[in-house]
Amino acid sequence: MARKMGSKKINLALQSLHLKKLFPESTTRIQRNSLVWEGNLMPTPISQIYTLRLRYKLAKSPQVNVLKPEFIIPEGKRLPHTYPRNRLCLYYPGSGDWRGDMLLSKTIVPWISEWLYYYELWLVSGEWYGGGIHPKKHLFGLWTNTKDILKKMGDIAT
Amino acid sequence: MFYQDRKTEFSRILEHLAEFLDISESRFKEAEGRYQAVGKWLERDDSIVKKYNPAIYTQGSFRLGTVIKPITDEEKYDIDLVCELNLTNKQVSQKLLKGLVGIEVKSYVPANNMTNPVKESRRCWTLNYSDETHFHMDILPCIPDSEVFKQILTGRGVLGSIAEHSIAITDNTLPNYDYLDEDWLSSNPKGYSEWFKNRMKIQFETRRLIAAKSISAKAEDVPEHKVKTTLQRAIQLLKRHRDIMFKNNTENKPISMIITTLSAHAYNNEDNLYNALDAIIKGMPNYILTKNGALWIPNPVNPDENFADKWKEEPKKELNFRKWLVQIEKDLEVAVNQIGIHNVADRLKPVFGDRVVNEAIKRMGDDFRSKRECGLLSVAAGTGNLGNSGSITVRNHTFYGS
Repeated sequence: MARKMGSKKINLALQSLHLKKLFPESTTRIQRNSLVWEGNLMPTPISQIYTLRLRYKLAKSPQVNVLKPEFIIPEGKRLPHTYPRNRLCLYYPGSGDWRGDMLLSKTIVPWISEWLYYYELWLVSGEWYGGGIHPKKHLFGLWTNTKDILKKMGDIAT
Repeated sequence: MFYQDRKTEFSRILEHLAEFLDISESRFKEAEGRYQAVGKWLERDDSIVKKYNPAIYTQGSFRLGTVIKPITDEEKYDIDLVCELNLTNKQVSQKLLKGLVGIEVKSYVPANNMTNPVKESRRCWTLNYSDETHFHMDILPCIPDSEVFKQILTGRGVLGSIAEHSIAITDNTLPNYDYLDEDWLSSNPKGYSEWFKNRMKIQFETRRLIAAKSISAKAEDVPEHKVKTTLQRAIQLLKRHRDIMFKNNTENKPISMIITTLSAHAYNNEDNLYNALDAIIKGMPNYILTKNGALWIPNPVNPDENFADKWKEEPKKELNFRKWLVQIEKDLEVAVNQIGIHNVADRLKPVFGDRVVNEAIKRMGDDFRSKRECGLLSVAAGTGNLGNSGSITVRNHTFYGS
């Protein structure tokens, strides 16, 4: 059943339309089969304003980066729940958390806001309160080649 | 609007902060158990005060719901108890009353396998529990005030329903301490708490109803001590700020009675904690009066009692009070204007303590996480603000990655 629903993917134009509708001040463009959304998010009224970029290729895993401000990473710490190059890990690939038949504006974008919220809390206490799964240690020992990983993530999400 | 949102969010942090300053429910129950045990002891069949219908009740911050944790784990909570016997000042002297209660308090110690001796102070008996327990218990022996005195109080503008709780207390430094005499010191802890509760009635009822609805119960089913108004929360924050600011100068720190009384006066039932604190801090000085050339903070249930009676001989106390007020106003102002929860927290840590700030931050995280897991977290379109009033429900998901 899930697979069947997953096949009804929402096309990029429709995704773009919905992103613009919920975040009117953001920008979207579609180039070479990719949707690029750039917008500002503020997880709470006392939080910083973050500028985000989301890239989405139909049937692939959406990729999210914070453009500004730069991450603060306390000495000896590692930014939690990120892929290489500080790409945000927002959901568990392959779990059905996110599928191509879902609107980015109602899934990925709210999750980004949430990620940013837990990031600010993490800066206070060094703890991540958002829950989640960390891949097994031996796995990310092998994950040295960024290209491979990104490819892998994309494959799983399809 | 934008600034208002900031203040609302800042209040959310402050509310969590105050929750962790408060005594924990288990510790509260423990304290309650201890004082009820003392009450039972005084009422038991071979108690020498049984025939005077002893009533044991709390006074001070325990009664008002404004208790805060001590700054360090080694320090203990002071639980203030009143032991009221149904006697008159024509029947007993202050010394006799103190002695009667003292006999029973002293016999409580060995009967309960306690070892630390009972200590006597000017007005109280103090029960010292073992080092592992977290309390001291001060027991104030008293009798009801005379009808004549209660009438004097009502004549001075105190409500009859408040004056009726007035009590006469002992003081072993007074010249008439050990003979029958009508001139006793007066106090009114029950009346004070009535006055205090009346000052926050609107918020209390609103919050009790919200708490009741959240568990599908009736308002009266929610225990009073589990409902905390913005007045109580504000006082807890004020007291903690004071404790930290004067941790090396405890002798001259502003006293809780003054903070509590002035706060309750200046409070206007604000439902936002930051707004309540702001109104209180700015309004407090208006309730410091002058009487016969002296600064006067009247006990609201006994206008002749001045909570600032020491300010004249020890001007340092007044000075510290004013300095503290300026400081907390500044500290909150700086914190509320920070951008980023982490920067706000950085400003709150030195003034309220690292541990409670970390606990509050964890609670903020857990709160949104559990809301999201139940489908109750939402995001506002346009801004991305998380909360419960946004138009987009945050779909549950699992953060991944190392």
